[in-house]
Amino acid sequence: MNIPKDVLFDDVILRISGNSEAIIENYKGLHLYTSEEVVIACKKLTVRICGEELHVQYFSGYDMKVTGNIHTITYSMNGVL
Amino acid sequence: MILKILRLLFGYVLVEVNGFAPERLMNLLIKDEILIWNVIQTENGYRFYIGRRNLLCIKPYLQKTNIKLKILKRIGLPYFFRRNKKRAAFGIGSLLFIVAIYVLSLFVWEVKVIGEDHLIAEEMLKYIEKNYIPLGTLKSNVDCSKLESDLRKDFSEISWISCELKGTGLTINLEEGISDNRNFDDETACDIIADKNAVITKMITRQGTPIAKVGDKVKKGDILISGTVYIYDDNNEIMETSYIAADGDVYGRTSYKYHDYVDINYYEKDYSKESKNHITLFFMDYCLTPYLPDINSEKYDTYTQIHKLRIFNNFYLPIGYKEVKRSPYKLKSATRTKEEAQKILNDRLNKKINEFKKNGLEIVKNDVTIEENDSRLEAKGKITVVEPIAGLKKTGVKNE
Repeated sequence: MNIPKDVLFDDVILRISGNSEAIIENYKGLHLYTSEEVVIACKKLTVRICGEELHVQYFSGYDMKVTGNIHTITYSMNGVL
Repeated sequence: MILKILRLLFGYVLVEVNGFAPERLMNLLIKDEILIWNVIQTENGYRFYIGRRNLLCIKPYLQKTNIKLKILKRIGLPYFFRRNKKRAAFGIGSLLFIVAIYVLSLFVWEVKVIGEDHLIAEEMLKYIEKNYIPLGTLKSNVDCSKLESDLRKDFSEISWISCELKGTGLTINLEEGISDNRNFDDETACDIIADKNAVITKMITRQGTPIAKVGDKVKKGDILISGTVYIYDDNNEIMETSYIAADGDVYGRTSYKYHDYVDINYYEKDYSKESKNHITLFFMDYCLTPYLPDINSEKYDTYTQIHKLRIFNNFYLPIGYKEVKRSPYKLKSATRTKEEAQKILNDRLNKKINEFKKNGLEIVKNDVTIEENDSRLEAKGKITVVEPIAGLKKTGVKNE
C-alpha cells in the first residue's frame, strides 16, 4: 500500500525553497520564536530552524511559513532537547 | 490578492502581546486554528496581525496565559465605517452624486448639427429637437440609422449625413448638396414631372417616352417624360405597355420676381448706454437669475451665450449657466444719400445672384431696375434663369 507517511504516522512535512523559505505542515505548536531560532513542536519530532532575520509569515491550524536566511534545520526526537 | 481584499473587507488589527511566554498563547491559537500572520518579535513580545472576528475569540486565551494584548492599528472596511460615522451624510451625498450622474448619462442632453451651411444646420437642429429627439430623450430610444434615413427623407438638400451618439451628446454631421429627389429605386415606375413653371430649353431623355419638347411652356406638375412605354405592332396598334422608371435631364427657363427696397429716412439704434451683463443658472427648463441689474430702458438687445456643464468632452449635463448681455438703445432717425441706398440695393441683388450661381443656376436675364418712390429706393424686376426642373413622381404601377 502506498499511503503517504504523513497521513499514516502524522509525520511533519517540510517544504523548503532555497534557504529563504520553509513551509511546515502537520505541526503541533511553537516552542520558541526569535529572529535567530524557531523551534517547532511536531508529533514525534522537534524541528529547530536556525538562521538570521527569521520571520513567521503566518500561523494557521494547518501550516506555518518561516522566511528569512535559514542556516540549519535540525530534527530531534521529542524529549531529547 | 483576493485574500488581501477579503481581509480588508472584514477588517483586521495589528496587535502586540507581551507577558511571560507568549509562545504559549500562539500554541493555543494554533490549536484552535486561528490564523495570525506577519509575526514579528519585538522588545516586549510579539507583534502580529489577526482578523477582527478572531480577536474576540482569543480573549479567554489571554486570560488563561496571563498575557496582555495591545491593539496598535485597526485596518479594514468595518473600522473605516466606524471612524467615519459622523461623515455619513458625506458618504450618502457622494453615493447620490454617482447615482445622479449615472441616471443623467442615460439621456441625450445635447444635439449638435455640423454642416457647411449654417442656416440649414440651425433649421435642422430645431427640427430634430421638435420632431425626433427632444432634449432628455432616453439614449436607448435613439436609433441613429433610422434618424439618418428619416432626416434624409425630410431634407432633400442633404447629400451625406452621419449621426453619432457619444456620451450624452448627439452629433449630426452633414454635407449639403443640390436638391435631388431621385430617391426611388430603379424598380419603381415613375414619371418625370416639372418642378416649376418654365419654358423648356434643353431635354435629354434616357429612359421613357418624352411628352414635352424643347420650347414648350410647362406648368408645375406637368409630365415631361412618361414612364409608360407603348410598343406598337405593324398596324400601329398598341401591342404591349410597359412601365419603367423615366430618366432624363430637363432644363427650363424660369423667372424669379425680385423686390427689395431701402428707405432714405430710417431709424438707427443708438447704443450709447452701457450694456449690462448678468448670469442665469438653469436646470433643464428651469431658470434662476440671482441678480438682475437695472438698465433703465424699455428697448434693449439681448445676447445670450449658453454654457452647458459637461464632464470630459461629450458628457453633457442639463445643468449650466447663461451669460446674458443686455444692450439698451435709443431709436434715432437718420438719413442716407441716394448713392448709399443704391449701393445697399446693388449689394443685396449681387448676393442673391451669387446664391443662384452657387446652386447651379444659370442667369439668362436680369431685368431688375432701381426706382425712387416717395422716400425710398425700390429694386423691382425679374431674374430669368435656366435651371434643372425635372422632378420624380411615382406612377404607382410596378414593373412586371
